[in-house]
Parts: sequence; C-alpha cells; structure tokens
Amino acid sequence: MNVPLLVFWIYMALMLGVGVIASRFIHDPADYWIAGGRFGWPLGGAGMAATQMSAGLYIGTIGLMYTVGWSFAWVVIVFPISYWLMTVYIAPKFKRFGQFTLPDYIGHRYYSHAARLVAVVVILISYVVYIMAQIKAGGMIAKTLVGISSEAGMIAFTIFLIGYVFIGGIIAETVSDFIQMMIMLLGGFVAIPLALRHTGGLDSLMATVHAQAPQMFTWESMPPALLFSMALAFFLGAFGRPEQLARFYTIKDVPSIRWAIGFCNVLVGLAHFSVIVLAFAARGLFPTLPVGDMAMPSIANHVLPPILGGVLLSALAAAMMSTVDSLMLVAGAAIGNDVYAKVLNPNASERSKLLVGRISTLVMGLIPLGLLLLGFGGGQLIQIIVALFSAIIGSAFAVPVVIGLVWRRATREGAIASMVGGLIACFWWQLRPPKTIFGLPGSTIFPVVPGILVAALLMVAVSLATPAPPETALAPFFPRRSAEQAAGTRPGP
Amino acid sequence: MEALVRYGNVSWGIWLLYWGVVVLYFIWAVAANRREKRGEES
Repeated sequence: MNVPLLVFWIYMALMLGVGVIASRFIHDPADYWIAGGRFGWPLGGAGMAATQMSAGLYIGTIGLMYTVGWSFAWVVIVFPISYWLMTVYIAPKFKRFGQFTLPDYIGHRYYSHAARLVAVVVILISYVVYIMAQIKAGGMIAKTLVGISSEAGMIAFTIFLIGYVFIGGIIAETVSDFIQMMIMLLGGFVAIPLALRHTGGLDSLMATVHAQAPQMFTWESMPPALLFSMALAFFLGAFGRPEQLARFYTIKDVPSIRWAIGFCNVLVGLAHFSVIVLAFAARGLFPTLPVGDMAMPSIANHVLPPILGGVLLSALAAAMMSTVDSLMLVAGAAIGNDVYAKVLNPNASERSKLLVGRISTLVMGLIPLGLLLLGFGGGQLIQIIVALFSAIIGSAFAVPVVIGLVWRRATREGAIASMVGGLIACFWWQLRPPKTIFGLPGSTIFPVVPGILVAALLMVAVSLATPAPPETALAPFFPRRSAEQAAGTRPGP
Repeated sequence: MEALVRYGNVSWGIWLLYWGVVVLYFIWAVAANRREKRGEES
C-alpha cells in the first residue's frame, strides 16, 4: 500500500466531510457567503493565514530561499505591517458596512452598478485564469502521487474542491482552511528535526551550505533594492485582495478581527520560519536540484518516513486548496451575489439567491477545468495573467478600497478610471518595462507599483473633476461626519 | 546555535523584527479592545 497516497486520500475525505457538516449550518445567502458574520478569531485568523499562504509558499518561496538564501526572508515583514494597517483603517468600516463581497463595497461606496461590474469583470477574468493554473498544478501533483494522467488528476482535484465549497460555502471553506493551516504547520515542523537529523544537525548543515554557496548568507543574491521592490509589491497588493477583505465580513465583531489578525500573524511567522529552515536543509541535502521548486517535494520523498512524507505532500495540496477554494468562492460570489442578487434580480427570494450562489460557485469551478481540458491552459495571455495575478488584483482594487475609506471626495468616475487605468499600467509595465528607473532595471520593479501609482493619480484627478458623491454612499463609511452634516454642524463633502 | 550566530546574521534581524512587530500589534490590539469595551460600558 502506498502510505503517502493513503494519507492524501484520508485528507481529501476529511475535506468532503467538512463540507457535508458545514452544509447543515447554511440557510440563506448570508450563511453561504459570510457564515452569517459569526466566526470567532481562531477560524477567522487561520482562514486568513491559509488563504495568504498558497502553494507558492511551499513551492515558489521555498525554492527562492533555496536559491538566494537568508535575505529573501526579509520580505515577510510586510505581512504584519499591512495586516495591522488593515485592522486599523479598513476592517472596522467593512465590518460596519456588513455586506458579502468586495464588489458590494465598490458598488455602494461608488454608488454605481458600473463600478461594481468593472470589479466583477476583473475578478472573473483574473480568478478563472488563476484557478486554471492551480488546477493544472493539482493535476500534476496527482500524477506524481497516484500515477494517473494529469487530466484525470485535474478532474479529481476539481471535484474535491467543488464538492466541499459547493455544499458548505464559506463555512466549509474556512473550517477546511483551519485544518489545512494546521496540516501545513504540522508538515513543516515535523519535517525540520527529521531533515536536520539527515544533515547531522544544524551546525553541520550551516557549515555545509556555507561551504557550497556562501552567497546564501549575504545580500548579494537578493540586493536590498530588489528586495524592497518585492516587499512594496506585496505590501501594496495586500490592500486589494477580495478574498482577504471579504473575511472581515465573516468575523463576528471588530475586537475578534483584531485577535484574528494577531493569530494570523503568528501562523504566518511560524510557517515562514519552517520554510526557510527546510530550504536550507534542502540545499544541504540536495545541492544540485535543477530548480529550487523541487526542494519541498525532494524532502518529502527522500528524507521523511512515508507517513510523514504523505503529511508533507498533503500540506502542499492543502496550501493549494486553501487558496483555490477562497478564489472559487469569491468568483462564485461575483456572479451569484454581485450580478444576480444585486443587479439582475434584487427582489429574488433568499432561497433562489442561495441556489444561484451555489450554482455560480459550481460554475466557477467547472469553467477553469473545462478551459483546461479544451487545451486553453498554455496561451501567452494566460501565462501573463497567472504571473501578474497579485499585481492585477492590487492595481485594480487597492486604491478604490483604501482611498474610498479615507477620502470622502473619491467619486464613482474616479474609481472606475482608477481600476481601469491601474490595470492598463500594470500590463504595460509587464510588457514594456523601461530600461532603467532610479538606477534599477525597469523589469525589477514589480508591475503593481506603477499600477497602484497610476490608479492613485487617476482616482484623485478624476474625482476632483467630477461631482462629489451623495451622502447616502458615504454614510456607512464615515458615520460621524455624515451625522454631523445631517445635524447641520458641518459642511459636506 | 553556534552556527546560527556565525552564519545567520542576515536572518536574525528579520525574525527579531517580525516577532517584535507581532508583540507590539498584540499590545495595541489588547489596548484597543479594552478602550472600546470601556467606551461601550460608559
């Protein structure tokens, strides 16, 4: 019996079981999209952390650390700082607003179905393509583990994902995220002592790696300017992620959100710490891997006993699934909530809104799979969108989210110009970066930075040139100021 | 430990900074929650 495979199947069955149990708590769209806003800090915090840490952490980040060494770890500092700022400036206003999705916020704050639909289109295109990439990777994992074709692997992977998200909504998604987060940490921290035993201990590992690749202990392989650009990209992008912002709606109150963010920071710190130690262990044990991305699978296959190798490979799958299930739900909500329930048929019954919500989540799982099976997985545009996913989302949404919450004068026209202009700037920079800027090659500045700068400039310029927003759009986000204006003690906007 | 001190100089700073920010965050969060609770009670 293939033990890692058995562990993997047990894990998949557990996820489906979570979906079935969660479905008992779902009675209306609010339950399905935001769990009725009832989560406490443990589920809220672990859900945020699991969504934040995709398979990228256990494949891409560990691979980068395998290649460049200690210095890349400095990027991790942006997470607690960006989350802290979000807790202060964004979370209380989102929680008070109390809707379901990011387009809900865009549509209300910018008093416009057009702005809402621009947000929906950006989400649908970028999320469908990103989910395609993840399903494709899931197929490859299944092929490696089970030996089936990658097409069969993609179908199986999608069925499991759709299975628990379709029936259990955000409750299944978040509970499974909590379990997945614990599996990730367990996999990482169990692997550390075993890997170190193979290397002869930490001292011996460090000496071996230092002898092989001394640049891994310096700033040479990741210069501070490049590191700063990367950190800035992560930092700015963090404010516009629909799947993370929507989590503020799911947690029961603002004090719980503060605890949840603290818990999330602890989990993120622990996971990154385990990843860097494992990256060094992989470097010491397998110094000639063709690509750094092979670091984690090499440890799972060659260092750990089969059952723990299964846990670590399940952690890989968990990292991927915990991100894809969130994306699927956000994309489903974009159709079920933002298009159907808010624009096309606002008077529909709660029952039909819930049904359409479920169907749209199902469709958002099936479309990426269908496109992949039809052979649309390798086009150049798809590769660009996958590479730019975080930058696209950050460029489109970070400015309308942040400026809309701190500046009353931000208008509908400004928001639409900002989303569209930010996206164009982001793509433009990726395709035609300037040769040098501030002494650095233009290609080393991540596209989200120019994307957000252009978005911010357009937001301010267009907003000032167009009529001020109505008070009804501003009231949920600036309650004190709106009350003062209603009482006549303060002039408005 | 000796190896970490000898070779880990580029990394030690980030972990001190990271956990320092997390601790500061918790201090702020507890204070903010208490302040809010007092505000509600009064």
